[in-house]
Amino acid sequence: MSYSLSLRRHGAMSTVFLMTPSLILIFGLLLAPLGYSLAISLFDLHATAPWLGVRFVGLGNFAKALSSPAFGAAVARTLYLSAVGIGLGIPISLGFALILNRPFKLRGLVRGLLIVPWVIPGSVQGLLWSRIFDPHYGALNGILLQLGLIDSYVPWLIDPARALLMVALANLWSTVPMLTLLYLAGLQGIPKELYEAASVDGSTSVGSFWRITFPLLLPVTLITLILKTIDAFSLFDLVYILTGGGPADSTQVTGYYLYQAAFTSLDYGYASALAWIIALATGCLAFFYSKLTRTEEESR
Amino acid sequence: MTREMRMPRRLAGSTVQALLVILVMLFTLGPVLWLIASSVAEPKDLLSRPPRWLSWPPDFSKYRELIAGSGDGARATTLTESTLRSFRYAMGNSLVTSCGVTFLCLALGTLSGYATARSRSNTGKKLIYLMLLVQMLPVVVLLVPLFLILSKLGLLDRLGMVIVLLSAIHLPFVIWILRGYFQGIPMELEEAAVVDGATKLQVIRKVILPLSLPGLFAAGTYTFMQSWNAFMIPLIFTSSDSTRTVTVAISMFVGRHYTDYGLMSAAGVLASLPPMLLAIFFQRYLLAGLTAGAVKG
Repeated sequence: MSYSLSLRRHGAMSTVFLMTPSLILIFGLLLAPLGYSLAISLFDLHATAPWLGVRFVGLGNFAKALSSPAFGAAVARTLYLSAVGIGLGIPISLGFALILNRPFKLRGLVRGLLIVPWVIPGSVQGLLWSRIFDPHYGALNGILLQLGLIDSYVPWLIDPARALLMVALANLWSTVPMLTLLYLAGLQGIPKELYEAASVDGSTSVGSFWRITFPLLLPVTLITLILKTIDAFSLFDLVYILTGGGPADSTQVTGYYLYQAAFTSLDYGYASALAWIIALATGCLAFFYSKLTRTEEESR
Repeated sequence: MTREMRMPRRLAGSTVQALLVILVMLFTLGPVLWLIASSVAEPKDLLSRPPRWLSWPPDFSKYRELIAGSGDGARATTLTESTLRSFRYAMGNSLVTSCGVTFLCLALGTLSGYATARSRSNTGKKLIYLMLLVQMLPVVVLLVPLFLILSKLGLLDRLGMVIVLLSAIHLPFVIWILRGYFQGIPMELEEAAVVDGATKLQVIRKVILPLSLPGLFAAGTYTFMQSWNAFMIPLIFTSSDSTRTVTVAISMFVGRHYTDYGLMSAAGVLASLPPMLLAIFFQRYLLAGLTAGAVKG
């Protein structure tokens, strides 16, 4: 009787049995709706005009989405958002990590405090930044005026040309500390001997950064790049609260555009097609991500 | 280099370092500190230009209003009173939701995490990768079909449904974290328990769980925070005061063009408090779990 053997490594049946509750939940509430959504995307449900009935439109919704200038603009805004998140986020958090990686008093406390922005709910972040960017009583105007950088109060979120940048900056605030922690973990994995060897060979600290630190942190950077882009495609709460997609749709990113198509215009078929396009795009990114992390795991 | 020359340079170095660290902290905490400061500020200080950054002594009346209701008869307009009441209700709803999701995810996650950690076949691992892939899809993709299905079944605007939905969304990551911890437990311990006549579920309860408390803390804290912070799901699947969570209640504060900035700020601080306390309390586990999850994938 090989009971202990069967415990050691149980087979597929037992695995599936223990996983049943999770599988029901995940397949019932995630995968099945995903399939249903694919079906809906082929129809025009006419939710606002039910007397017209349900009409099969084939790939019409997809064609409509891909040729829609509004959706194209939303995608462009989303890419802008992730570009700001990456272009500013990576250098800032790498800089922060390098600062915090050196020994100083209260290092543990300071590192611990880095998770504060990440812990604050997205909707509270929306409230916080709406207070900071407030045109009349906001902190940003107050600080800039007191520093003499502006002469009069600026309506940050009311100007369509500036609103998206402000959303991107607000979003940056919560992601930088988390990235800093990732980079700190990465920095700790770099053996000190490498730097010692480099300095013996006459390398300056700038040279060591480019030849040792930066290349060895490249996996973290790549992962960040992908995750930031995926995040940007699903950003919603900050936009919903801070700008509501406005002014003049200037902050209407894909997450918000989709939400409006579904729950404001009630165009369920179109919204499902949009959702699938976004899902496929992020799915490709997620696939690269898992490839990346899996090769990393195997190379350990 | 003489000793006298090195001292001032080292001092200068540590001053620069201190300034840089202060810069990092200002970036990270500045906005939060301002929110806290404005939650205890005199109303007239909040409306002054340029702003008064700190009003002293702190005025905790906004917190009193939010927690106990406005005792001030003159201010107790119906709007304020109902806003305050629905905020308190929302805090309770968020607490129930987050605890429910955490419990469900840990219970199911333990079973699945154990199954895949000890699986001889590749099925479990494949299922996990599939789940993680699904989890990476933006939640928006699920909204339309779920909304249509649940409205047809008459299950909209129920807190229990929100709990189940959020559990499904966060379960894959919980399984992933727990699986990692379970794999680190030597099998000899389980065998000893089996020899003593324990069943598989007893092995999980008596051997695996006590040994993987750090993993449970990490996964639990993560799940609680994620479900407390959830916004889109409760926004769409709840619609009344009795089911609204606090994140949605907060968005209504802003959306109403409410001008009581002190009250808004205090509400924001209160809404951030539970996940913040939890994160501080379980910080060690949380960071270990998250960086492991994020770096290793």
